[in-house]
Amino acid sequence: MTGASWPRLLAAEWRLFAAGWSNVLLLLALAALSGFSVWGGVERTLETRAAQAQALQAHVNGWQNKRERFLQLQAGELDPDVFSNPKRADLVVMSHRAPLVLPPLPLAPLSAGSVREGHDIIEAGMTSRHGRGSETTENPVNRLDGPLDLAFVVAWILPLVLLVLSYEGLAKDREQQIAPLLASGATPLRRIMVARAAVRFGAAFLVVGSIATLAVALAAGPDGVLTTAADLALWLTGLAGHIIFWLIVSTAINAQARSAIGAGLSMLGVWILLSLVTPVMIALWVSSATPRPDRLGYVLQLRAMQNDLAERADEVRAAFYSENPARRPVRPAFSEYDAYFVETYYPRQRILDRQFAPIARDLHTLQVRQAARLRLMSALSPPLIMKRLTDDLAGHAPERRLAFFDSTGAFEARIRDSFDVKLASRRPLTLADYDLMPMHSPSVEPLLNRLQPASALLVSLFTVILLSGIATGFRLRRVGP
Amino acid sequence: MIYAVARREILLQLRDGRLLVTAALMVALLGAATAVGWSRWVTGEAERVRFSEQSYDQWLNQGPKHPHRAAAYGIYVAKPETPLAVFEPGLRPYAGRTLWLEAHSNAAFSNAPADDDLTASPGLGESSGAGLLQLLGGLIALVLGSLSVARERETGVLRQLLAQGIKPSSWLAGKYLGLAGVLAIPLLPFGAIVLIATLWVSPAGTAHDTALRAVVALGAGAAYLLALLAVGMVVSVIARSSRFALMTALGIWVIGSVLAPRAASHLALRLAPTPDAAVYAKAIGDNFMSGFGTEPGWDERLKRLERDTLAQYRVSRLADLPVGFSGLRMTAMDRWTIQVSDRQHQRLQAIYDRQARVRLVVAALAPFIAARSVTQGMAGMDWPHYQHYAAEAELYRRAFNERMNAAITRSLRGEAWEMNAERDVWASVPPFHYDSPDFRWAMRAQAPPVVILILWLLAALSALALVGRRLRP
Repeated sequence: MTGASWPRLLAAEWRLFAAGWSNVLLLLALAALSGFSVWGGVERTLETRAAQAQALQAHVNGWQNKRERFLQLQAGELDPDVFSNPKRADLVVMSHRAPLVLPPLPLAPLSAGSVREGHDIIEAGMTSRHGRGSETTENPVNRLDGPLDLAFVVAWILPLVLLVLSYEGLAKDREQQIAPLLASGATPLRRIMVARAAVRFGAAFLVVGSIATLAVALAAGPDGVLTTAADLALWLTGLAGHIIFWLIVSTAINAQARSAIGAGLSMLGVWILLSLVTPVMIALWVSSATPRPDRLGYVLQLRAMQNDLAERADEVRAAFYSENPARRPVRPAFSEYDAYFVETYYPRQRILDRQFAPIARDLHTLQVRQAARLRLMSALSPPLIMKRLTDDLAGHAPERRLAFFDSTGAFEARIRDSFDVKLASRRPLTLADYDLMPMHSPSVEPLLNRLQPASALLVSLFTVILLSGIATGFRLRRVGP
Repeated sequence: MIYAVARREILLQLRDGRLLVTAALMVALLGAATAVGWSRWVTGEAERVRFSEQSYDQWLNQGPKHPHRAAAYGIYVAKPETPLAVFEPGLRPYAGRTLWLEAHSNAAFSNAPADDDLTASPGLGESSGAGLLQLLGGLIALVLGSLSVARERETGVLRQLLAQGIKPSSWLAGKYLGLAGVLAIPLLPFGAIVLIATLWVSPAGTAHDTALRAVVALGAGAAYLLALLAVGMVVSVIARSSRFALMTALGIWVIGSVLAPRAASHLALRLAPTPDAAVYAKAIGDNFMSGFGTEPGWDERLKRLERDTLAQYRVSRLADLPVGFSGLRMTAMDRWTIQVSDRQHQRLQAIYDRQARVRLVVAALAPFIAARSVTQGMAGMDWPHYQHYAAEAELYRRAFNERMNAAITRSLRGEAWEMNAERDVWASVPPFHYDSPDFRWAMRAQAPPVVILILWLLAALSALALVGRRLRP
């Protein structure tokens, strides 16, 4: 007894599914919510890209203006006053900061992440960036509930939509005494259930997948579509797995449930367990196994270093000059301010950075460790897998921030190497020095960086699917009317 | 009769294994969240006290240096938390714990735990006792309510009851009270624990204030759950099948408790966008240099200061002044900066107020937001409390900055800049002392959400009474 062929069965189930106005309405609501969330994501990505380009361009223009002033001075067209002599390194580069940007990844429109504004632009220069405050104008109330992005919709709302679309699967037929009729036909009940799940899979995947693809393509622009393909394929694989998992749960419950209401309540229970309870439990465990960095301790440590260096100012200065004798000033100070900043403040800043940079790096390393644990534990909660997968592919993986921190350090070193001796020794700047200022241009990050964490999450997801699929398969063999 | 129906409802629900499992799960979750909240609060407060003391100690022992450089080194302070923060950490993960009070800019929060901690927002962002209670408790209330009448109708019980001449409104009232009692079974002990624990750890003299705050917070939670229970029952009366009632209740919960808070933030930011930090800082910088309205910019002010000072001391050169002009200049610069930054801050505050109004409008449709707001406010962990702390700290910053500038003016002569001050000058700045606002202040700040919750409860009960009159089998 083989019954109807798969295509005919699927076509019949699709017609039944599409005839239900509540199904269509629900899919439309899902489409509207997904569209609304990715619309915000596309806007956010384009704004971020524009703000980053503007910051980089402003730096280029600013530096160019300084260079112009230098040329004017050389041509005798500029009368340098005390505070704006373009030949003095202390005035030109001491407080100059060059921006580095962390550009949005191809899937950035799908997740806003949980970091605060301005995290994607860091300024580096001659003085330490570690002692600066991290001022923000953000209203934290707006961050408290999390962003309304596709990562949230897919991880938490999509399963609820699938619940409503599929909770009646076979249970309603049982209630209405249609199940015996179905069972008496040539097509086995399990095949009908699988066909129903497949139809719902197709509908949900089509709606969310196509909206996400469109958003990513819109944000990438015509030149970037190809570069997004691999990231998108990875994410769509995750999306497919996520939908399959929830449909397996629904099928398993429907194989057992005697009433639709019972099936609905059971599915709601599973959703609460996997989407609300387990993530909270995982978070509690991870936060105790990998406690957050003691930020207050770091602040005190930094201030203690500052105090210590201030008290040992003469010793620090002597060590700074003996490390590189070319730094020793070749002329007396221009003013009291210049004397302090060049001979006391600057050496301290360099030493402070050398001492504190490894400690600051620890903050990021701890987050990387937390992320690794979270990914591992996510295997217990498919919604959490999907959330992490989307966040990671959208560029919010802590590994990426650590790499950004490291590249900032390297870029900062380039700026300092270019101007260190001129600034410390009070040698006049030349036109060649102006041409030495490094300009940051963001490089394309290899897919491999994202592939590793993403593949670990996908392996977890598909392992969960495999195990639950096998269990459901066994149960379906015995499914009756 | 109402009592008899309520009693029967409680018994029936308690016999239902699913409810017991749900209640047990809820109690376990709340217990775990409370235990973790307790541990975080105790560690956090110890950390905060240590941090504040050490930061002040570092200020006192910073060695001889120029007073302006000392002011630039500054002092860190950290916001204290009430014991209710054990159950409702509110903005703690996102608002930042510390304020760096230094010479150049207004006090602003930094070092937010969520910046370093991936586990701060793992899912729906709820790992606090109050958050879980309102999120999951709301779902349970809606589900209980939505199945209450529809199932009786489907099984034919309702037809039999009405045929016996039972008054529908009394039957509904009994059912409502019974279900409210069922909700209270796991939640009342939780409330009692909250009250006792917070009173136990309250600092001396604040027990009364803490108790009032706890009572309002618990009352808000109860009003929210009772309103949702009534909404669920209204749905149940109207719906023709329990399936439809359950799905409608689920839809209400998803929209009201899961989507609405995020949508409110999204809307608030869209309708009242916050300027980013760089734009805000630039506006202050531009105002400082160029002035605004009839107020001249800094260059003009400096010239005026030089002119007035020379006239006051009857000398012709700054170098001949009997006081340190750099101190006077720093004082004038700080006062002008304060004027400029206050102006920009008022604009920013107006944006925050507009965002709060948008959230309030959404809260009128989704009481979950109002309930969260009240518990956060009563726990002292909402934005008004954070801003109150920042405002007090800002006054302290301005005062110590003035002292540093006065020390420069006193110690120097003429145009000189370099000098070193010592511990006696640092010690002239007392440690920062902060008095948290009292219960009445918190209530004033939270009056609109409290009113929303009361209106919701009244409206839901009225709707239940209204549909109850037309109850059909």
